[in-house]
Amino acid sequence: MNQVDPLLHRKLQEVGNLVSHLGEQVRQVSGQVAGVDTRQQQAQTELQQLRADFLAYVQQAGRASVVQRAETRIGVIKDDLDHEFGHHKTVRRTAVGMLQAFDTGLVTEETVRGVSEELMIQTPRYWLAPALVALASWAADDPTLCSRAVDEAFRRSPAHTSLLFTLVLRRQGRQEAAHRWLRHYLLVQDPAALGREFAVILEALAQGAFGPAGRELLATTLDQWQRTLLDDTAARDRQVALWRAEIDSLAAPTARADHPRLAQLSPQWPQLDAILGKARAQQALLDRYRAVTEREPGPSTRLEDAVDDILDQLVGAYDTDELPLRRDLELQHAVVAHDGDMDAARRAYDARAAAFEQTLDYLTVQSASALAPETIGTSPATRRLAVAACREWLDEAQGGFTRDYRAALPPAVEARFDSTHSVAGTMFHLPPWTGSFSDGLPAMEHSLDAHWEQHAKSFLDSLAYPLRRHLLILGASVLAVLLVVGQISWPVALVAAGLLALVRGLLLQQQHTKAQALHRSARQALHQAKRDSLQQLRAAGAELTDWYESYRAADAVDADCRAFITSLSAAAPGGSPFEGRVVDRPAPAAPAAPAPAGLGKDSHR
Amino acid sequence: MAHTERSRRIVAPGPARAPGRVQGTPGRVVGPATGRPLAVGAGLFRNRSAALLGTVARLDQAVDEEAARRFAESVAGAYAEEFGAVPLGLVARCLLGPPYVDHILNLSGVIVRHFAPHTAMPEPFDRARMLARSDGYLYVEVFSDGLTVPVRPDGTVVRP
Repeated sequence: MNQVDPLLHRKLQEVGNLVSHLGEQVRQVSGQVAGVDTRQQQAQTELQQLRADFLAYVQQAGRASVVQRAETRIGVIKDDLDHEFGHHKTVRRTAVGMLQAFDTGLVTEETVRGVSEELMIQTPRYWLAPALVALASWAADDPTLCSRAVDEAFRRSPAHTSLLFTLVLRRQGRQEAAHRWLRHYLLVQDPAALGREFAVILEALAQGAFGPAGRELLATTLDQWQRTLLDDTAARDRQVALWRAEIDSLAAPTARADHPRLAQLSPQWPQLDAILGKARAQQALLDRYRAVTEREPGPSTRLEDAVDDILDQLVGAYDTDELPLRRDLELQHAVVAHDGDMDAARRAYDARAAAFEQTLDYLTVQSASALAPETIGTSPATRRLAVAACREWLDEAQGGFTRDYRAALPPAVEARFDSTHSVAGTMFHLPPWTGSFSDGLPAMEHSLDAHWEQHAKSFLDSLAYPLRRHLLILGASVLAVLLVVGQISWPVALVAAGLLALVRGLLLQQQHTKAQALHRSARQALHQAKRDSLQQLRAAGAELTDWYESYRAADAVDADCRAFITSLSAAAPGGSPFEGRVVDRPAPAAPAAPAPAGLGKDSHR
Repeated sequence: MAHTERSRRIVAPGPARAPGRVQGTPGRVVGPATGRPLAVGAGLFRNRSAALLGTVARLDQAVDEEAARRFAESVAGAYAEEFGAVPLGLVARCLLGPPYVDHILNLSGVIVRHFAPHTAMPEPFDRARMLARSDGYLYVEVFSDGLTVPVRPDGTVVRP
């Protein structure tokens, strides 16, 4: 019996040690698994960050390459233009030079004639070359040649030729003949398919270059065209769409940097950001077009200079043949301007593409003069008048734009929390929580707090050390020892049970203390995480208030915009710097001979 | 934030009909113009007259059923006369403030119903809801084909 007792006691001791050792190992493995899990989460986060960085890099590299290609293409197109149409430039420069030579009388008739004939040979098919021959022969008092040259120029480009002689004769004080050319030009025009040179007419109107009679004729004709074209709803809608595209392009960039918490927490942030950007377009619109209309056009000191500027535009405007290359050039410029963003470049190009069509309707000429004067070749003075003439479309486009972003305002802005935290070597996942700011911040805070408390409590409970269960097991083990060993010897049973209780009890106490410490640290970590969440929520609430203030301020500019657009109706008529001015100087000195009858349009026909 | 939280009202005015004829069920937004062919033409986008705006502005004075009926009839009559088309209803800011239950009226198909921010608006009025909350518009007309026409305080309208 005495031999059995120590043996049994030793075996029990060994079993107890093994159980304890196993428990220790399980805990170690559990800790290692939690550690691996945490590291895996970290690795995943870093991998995601790396992926995002990589994608951003790829996008940036792609854009840089697109910009580089566009810049190269710009060079190639310019070379092509120079190669294909460079000789037109010489003729254009000569035309204005010749008129100035007439003014000053510094060049002999032979030189003028020689140059014009040389250009006639060098630039076949270009309308301006025979027009120069006509001018030179006019100066040389050779009506036969002049008439033939006018015929040829008119055959090559009736519209350009008519306009050129309208302006030249106007410049030389031949009002009757100029008026006849102008009337004839207008009569043969189709307001739905005007040539690109028509922008010059608007320019001349803005500069008052045709004198009172010409202005009257133009005003009547243009009013009639506008009325005819506006009967077509589709034409009107096209103009409104052009202006809408212009306003859309003024939307401000993202305001994410000003509202980082709101952007992070609110599922409605993309809508809010887009709406604020659009509301801020109101100020941009106002600034841009107020600057256009308030800008005092610097009138030339002499009316001749103004007419020369218009002539520059007429002869300098690129030909229809050049349009494909010009269109491509404009697109490549847009790509460079938008830093390689092809979509944005395409949108910007599309908004201006109308100006590169071979023929334009009168309404589009007006819109293009107001929206993109550089593409159609008009001056700020013309732009000013064109903006005023387009006020109805601008009004409609601005009204629709404002309505659309106001209607897109989300009825309720929400905050959403859905986070994972590493707590005491274990991952704690907070289930998704969503609250609406329209409930008020205190109610949201209360709800989020309750959500945290509820899920943190169940998590902490799962971490709690099961002391009670262990004590019950220990009690059962002691009882079993007493019952089994007690049948053999009570004193031995008591000693064995006492030893078991003591050893196991000490172990339990140690484990319990450790678990309590772990529990405390987990509770503190979760408490801190909850406080951070609440702080983020408050910050997002404050940022939402800021957002609403910014939005209201930006949206309030709508009233100023509307007042500005209404004020344009007063600016429409008579905005010309040369209103009512006419050339009343004596006949120029250079062409000593009177103008041949051949330059009068009627006789030409 | 505040301007998105104002309570709203939907007014469904009826055209001049036989008084006392019940068109809808209490609590539902109905429009007597439903099913009526809508003549939406360019004329519909003319400016709203000061008289019409004044009539619409008197909604808050319609504190009893008789007043609401008269109100709706005058609005519908004004629309029919001026534009030849009567909207299904109007959505506007509610200036009464809480509690607004006192102003739910139902007579001859005329319903004035007030909405809290969280209460969903029935179609097609829901599309006009955020527009009506903007200070830029006096009210929004909603037509039976879903067309929404915001009316500015000066009587001008925003074309669709």
